[in-house]
Amino acid sequence: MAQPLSKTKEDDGTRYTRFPEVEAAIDIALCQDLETISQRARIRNSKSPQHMTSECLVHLIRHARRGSDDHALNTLLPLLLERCHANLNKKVDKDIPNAAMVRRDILRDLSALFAIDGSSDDKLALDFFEVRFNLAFARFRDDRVGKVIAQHAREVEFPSSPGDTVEQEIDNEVVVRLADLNGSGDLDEGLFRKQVIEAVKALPTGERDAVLLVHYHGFQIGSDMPGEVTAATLCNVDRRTIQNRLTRGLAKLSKLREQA
Amino acid sequence: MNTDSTMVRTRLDDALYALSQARPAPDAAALEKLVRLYPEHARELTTFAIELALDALDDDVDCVVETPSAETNAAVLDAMSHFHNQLYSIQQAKEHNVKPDIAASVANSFAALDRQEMRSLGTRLHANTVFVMKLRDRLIAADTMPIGFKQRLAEEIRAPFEAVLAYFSGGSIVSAPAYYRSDQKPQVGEKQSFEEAVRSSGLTSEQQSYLLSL
Repeated sequence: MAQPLSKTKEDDGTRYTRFPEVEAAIDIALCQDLETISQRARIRNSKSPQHMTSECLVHLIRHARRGSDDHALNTLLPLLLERCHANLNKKVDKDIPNAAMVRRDILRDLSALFAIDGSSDDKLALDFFEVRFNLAFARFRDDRVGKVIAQHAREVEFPSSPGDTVEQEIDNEVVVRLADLNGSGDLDEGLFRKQVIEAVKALPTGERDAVLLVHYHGFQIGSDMPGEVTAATLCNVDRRTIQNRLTRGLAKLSKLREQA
Repeated sequence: MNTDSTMVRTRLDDALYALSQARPAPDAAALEKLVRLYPEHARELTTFAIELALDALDDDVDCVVETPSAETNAAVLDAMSHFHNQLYSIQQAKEHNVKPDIAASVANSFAALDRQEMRSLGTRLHANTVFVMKLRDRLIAADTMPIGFKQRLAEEIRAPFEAVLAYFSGGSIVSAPAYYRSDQKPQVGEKQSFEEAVRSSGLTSEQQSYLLSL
């Protein structure tokens, strides 16, 4: 059985817990030999039944660290770091000054978390990685990237002038497909759907956020009701800015339909 | 870290933990509820809700199996080396009752050096990269190292002298031992004496004379 997490929530003092399927996966993995585990950890396709989640992998590495199992530690930690570096390659903008160095430093910092795990310096940061790895790593990564960007005073400005409109007509079918992204619709045109997803990811951050908040999460663009949470309040801009970003983003996406 | 920033961070931890419970990504109602509960972290919650949405979309796209690139391999090797240096410092600190931060500062100084900086440090020490690598990996017996040299090194890497002493008092490191493919862990040979290290690092006779005169 997996060792319970130690980190507690501030509001009620209860411990963090893993999802049941993570607990189950850990229980299975703890009964497997290192070779099987390392083979599973190499599988990148998350749909494979043998794929090992990163939450589970983090637990196994910590388990090896606690048990002074150097062989397991030295086998599994590089596999996790490889996954993380693949993520960094995708998520750390190559235009950031010294992007390769930034990726390297983030990976170093992550490895250090495992080194201090269980020591007096340990702040139990790895517990959250066992709950939801992608979210924990995104925060870990963005904290560091944010500092680098701040250091270089490279702020990305999103155009939001009132007269900045796009003349292109938005293809309704693209909007329908976007609404399908959260899994609510019938998705049979796989290739087109993938193109839409890739195109959304490639949008400038402001446009991408507007598109996802409105068409994925389902927020209103803005509201006259004081205190209502909308895409505009979440992005801390006015309604017109969200509308403009949305218009530009959707106009770009609509080109996909022409190409398809 | 001051208490205020610790509290803010703890509350953000709680907020993100709550966000993590919505799967695959929070809908508008769930995110709105969290934003109302943690208004001071609305920006972070929004950013990471979008991150989760992108992840959820990624899951729908067939995974492409990638062979790690040379850059990835190098970065992983480097991170593993850093991991072992940190681990070593912590273990040494435990054994010698030295504050981990102090011992780790030297390990960090070495770990932060890229190839060019390594060469530069070698030049400043009247040595070369090979010799610096021997220092980094603690392949030189500390008790044979002249005090003058240790002081000089402490100055060059801007570390406290006690930290340099603590760093070299431990066993040798195999750089990035995590990446060996063999079933056997690589063995570290016996440490060289300072003189042996100087003689076997490809240094010029002038460099050797200087270092041995310290």
